[in-house]
Amino acid sequence: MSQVIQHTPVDVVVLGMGAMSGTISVELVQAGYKVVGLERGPYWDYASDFYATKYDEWGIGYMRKFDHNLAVSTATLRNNRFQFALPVRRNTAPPGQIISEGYGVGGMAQHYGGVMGRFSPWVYQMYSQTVNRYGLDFLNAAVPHQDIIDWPMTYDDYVPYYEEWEKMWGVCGTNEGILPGFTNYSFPLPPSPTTPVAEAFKNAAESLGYHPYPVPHSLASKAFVNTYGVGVNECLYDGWCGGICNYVCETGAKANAAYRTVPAAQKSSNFDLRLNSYIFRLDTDNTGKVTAARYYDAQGNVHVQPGKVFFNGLWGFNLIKLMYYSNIGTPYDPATITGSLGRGPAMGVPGAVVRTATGTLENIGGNAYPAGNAFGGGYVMYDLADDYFDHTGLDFIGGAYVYFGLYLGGGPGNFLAFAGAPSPSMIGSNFKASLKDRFLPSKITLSIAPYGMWPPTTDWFIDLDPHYTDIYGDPLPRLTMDWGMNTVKCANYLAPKYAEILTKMGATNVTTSANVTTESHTATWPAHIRGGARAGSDQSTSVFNKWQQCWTCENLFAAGEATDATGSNTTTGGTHPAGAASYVAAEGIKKYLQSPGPLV
Amino acid sequence: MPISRREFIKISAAGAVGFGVASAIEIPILENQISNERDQITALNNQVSTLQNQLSTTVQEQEAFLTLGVNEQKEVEAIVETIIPSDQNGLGAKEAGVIFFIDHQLAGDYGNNARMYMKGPFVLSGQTGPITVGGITYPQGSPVEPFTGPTYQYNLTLREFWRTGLLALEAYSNSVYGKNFEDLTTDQRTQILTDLYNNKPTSFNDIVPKDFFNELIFMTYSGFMMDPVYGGNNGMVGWILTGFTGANMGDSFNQGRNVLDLMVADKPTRFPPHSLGEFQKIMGEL
Ligand SMILES: Cc1cc2nc3c(=O)[nH]c(=O)nc-3n(C[C@H](O)[C@H](O)[C@H](O)COP(=O)(O)OP(=O)(O)OC[C@H]3O[C@@H](n4cnc5c(N)ncnc54)[C@H](O)[C@@H]3O)c2cc1C
Ligand code: SF4
Repeated sequence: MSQVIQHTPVDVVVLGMGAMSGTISVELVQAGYKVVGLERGPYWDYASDFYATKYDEWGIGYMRKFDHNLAVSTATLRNNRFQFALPVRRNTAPPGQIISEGYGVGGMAQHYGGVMGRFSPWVYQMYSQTVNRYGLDFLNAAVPHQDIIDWPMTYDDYVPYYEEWEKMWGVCGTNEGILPGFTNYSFPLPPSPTTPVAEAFKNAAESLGYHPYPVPHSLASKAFVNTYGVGVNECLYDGWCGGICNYVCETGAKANAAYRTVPAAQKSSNFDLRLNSYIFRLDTDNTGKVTAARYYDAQGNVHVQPGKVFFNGLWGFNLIKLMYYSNIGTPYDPATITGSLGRGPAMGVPGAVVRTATGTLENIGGNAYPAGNAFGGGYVMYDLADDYFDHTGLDFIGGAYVYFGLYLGGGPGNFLAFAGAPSPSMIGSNFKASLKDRFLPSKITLSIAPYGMWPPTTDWFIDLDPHYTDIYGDPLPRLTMDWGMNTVKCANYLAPKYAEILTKMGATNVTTSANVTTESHTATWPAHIRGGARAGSDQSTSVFNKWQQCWTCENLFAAGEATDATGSNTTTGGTHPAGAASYVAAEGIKKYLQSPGPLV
Repeated sequence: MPISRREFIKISAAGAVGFGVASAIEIPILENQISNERDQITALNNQVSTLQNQLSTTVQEQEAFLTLGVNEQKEVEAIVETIIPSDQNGLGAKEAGVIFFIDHQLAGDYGNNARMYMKGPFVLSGQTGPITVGGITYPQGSPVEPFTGPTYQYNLTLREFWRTGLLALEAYSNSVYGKNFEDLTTDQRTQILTDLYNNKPTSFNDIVPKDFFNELIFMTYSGFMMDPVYGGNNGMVGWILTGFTGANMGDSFNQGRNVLDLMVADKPTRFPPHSLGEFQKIMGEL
């Protein structure tokens, strides 16, 4: 018989135990507060759980054996609100990253790529800077139905929080990696050694007047001890790291909360981490404050955990759906363009390659041995990203970073053999011949894909699906999103520029794929959803204020990609800027516990 | 016994990292060295076939069916050998035991949709509107989706999807050529599969023929390329074809090389592939 189990109140209840929740847990525990952490999954032990079993492309790439089970819950997806939304019924690779939600302490970052990079000042004020420089008409024409808002603070305001995050997480890179022209501060760890292909890219890009620098990432390039005294192993460069499948890490070098923050929180008896705890509701009182979190344990018992402050670290649509379930916030209505919960989602990286530039490099002396980590070894440049180039006369905003020359073996990627849609050309000896010696290094096919800039519009939103429920009977979250023409126009502009770099590198047969003319998002549904519960300065379009505190529910805080006001593809994933925001939230919660009320 | 990777992990935190002698095969890059590289690879392939023999006992034990019926076995064997034939570039899907990969997957979690969301309603992707579901009308139908994964919107376990598709495929083959699929020539089989891709069959047991085509391609290449522990990729033939090294991380098989050396090397370096089972054995984990 399942029972209702009432717990004694604590200071802070942390929901989920991914990257964001890790920051909150350690910061609040070390400030002397009593913290309960609730996580639906296990606590992975890399040396035991991953060490012998991770070299398994089928289990990880397809069966997602260390991830959330879709039979429990999933999301439904559609391109516009006049369509029926289909549930994601199975994970698959390719195209990878359909959802691959986090599961267990460390969350998604257990199996992310680990590419890092700060958002630029322009991203933080995308709306106002674009309007100031090009005018509102330009913006409205570039992004029809744009719903872009500025972040609640400027880049400069976030800098100290970025630094805290970087020292804890162990971001690898040089001072150039922070932002172009930045020289006074360096990331705590050096970049990974570069590859010969990367050097060729760097030289070509430099001769074209660009400014490439080593890709910043969070796959520890050196053993180190972080700001909380947690020791971290050095990356083994074993090749089963990124790629289309995204592998868990057997050394803990790949930064995630389980091996950076949570161990430090656990040193204190003030921290109580409860695993196998599936959160399904927040209870509120008549003043609009959260009184308790409700969760199921492994036996189906309902637990009620009261607290003074609640931190929602469930990520993306899970973070948002819990607020819908608990009647917190004002749901967005696309017909009237009012309300803020579920409003303004966009994608960090279009998982689909919109357009590519390809070429062949012979005798480069690179190594096609499938080794290395996911994001080390290469260079990145911002010159074609954000507003680092003049958009006067163009018909889109933003741009894309270019990164290149990463270790070629970022994951075995045997799925890539047929990464395109299956077709009859994959039957028989010709196709088999084309697979022969794919890893033979004397000829390398180079490919660069511009990830067009993807700003939010009033047409896209996250709400609850009226047809589908999860295993517990609660509605599935529904995503209504498309590429948008800005993404497409941006990619069309960039592809030839990428081809130019390849040619400069000495590649032959350089071509770009066809100009894209439709905004229809049919190729993939990536994991990098951001927005939907934005932090901003105006509560009619945002859910959280600058302290990551909910406008309408003062003791609820949150951080994660969902609270990004807007983003850009100057970094994939966006754990780095979200991580900075998690330190803002930690400070906000401390302020709130000292003197409760709306923070300003 | 090389240094255990687990030991290595412990040591590396302290910063002490040591490796043995270099014995990997370095392939110098010279303009006309491609044939030389191929010789090297042939040598590696010979090493591999030795390993293959060592593995053969295990392989035989895995060669048994758990779910495919005898008729289905013939048909699936014909499908996979058509998709990846045995030819001058090496052994094909049949020799790689792809059928056992498929059979074992269909008999387990995969075939039972254990990790899939399976609640209704069931609506296919790419429906032109308007459609009405649960009393709500959607003027623009349902979205077009990627070829696999989300595209799967059937109220069938994958085992049943295969059973249904295989029966429909035999029926279609008989309607076109008057013969079962396995009795057709390679060209005829290719034509039949291409017809599925083009959704040519007008009745296919309520399955969109192209969805079944996608599944056949997906599972055949998976069986050819995934670790032999799953019953396919016998003797790592798929990896030998592509040059993938499997669970050989360079330092694990007495090759005495740090993977990092390999990554930044200006001379391409190749190792023979190793399976997960071999890796666990050599690490003393199995
Ligand atoms: C394949 C892939 C590649 C990526 N690559 C990159 C990259 O290269 N760079 C980058 O910056 N970012 C990348 N990302 C994104 C990055 O991993 C995430 O942004 C980040 O890890 C999210 O951290 P989080 O703390 O917000 O959420 P999560 O890490 O998802 O944590 C949420 C936690 O909450 C738990 N949870 C969820 N629902 C419940 C519930 N109802 N009850 C209890 N617990 C619950 C989950 O189990 C999880 O542990 C990638 C993501 C994916 C999937
Ligand atoms: S390559 Fe490095 S970061 Fe990646 S999984 Fe291996 S040890 Fe971890």
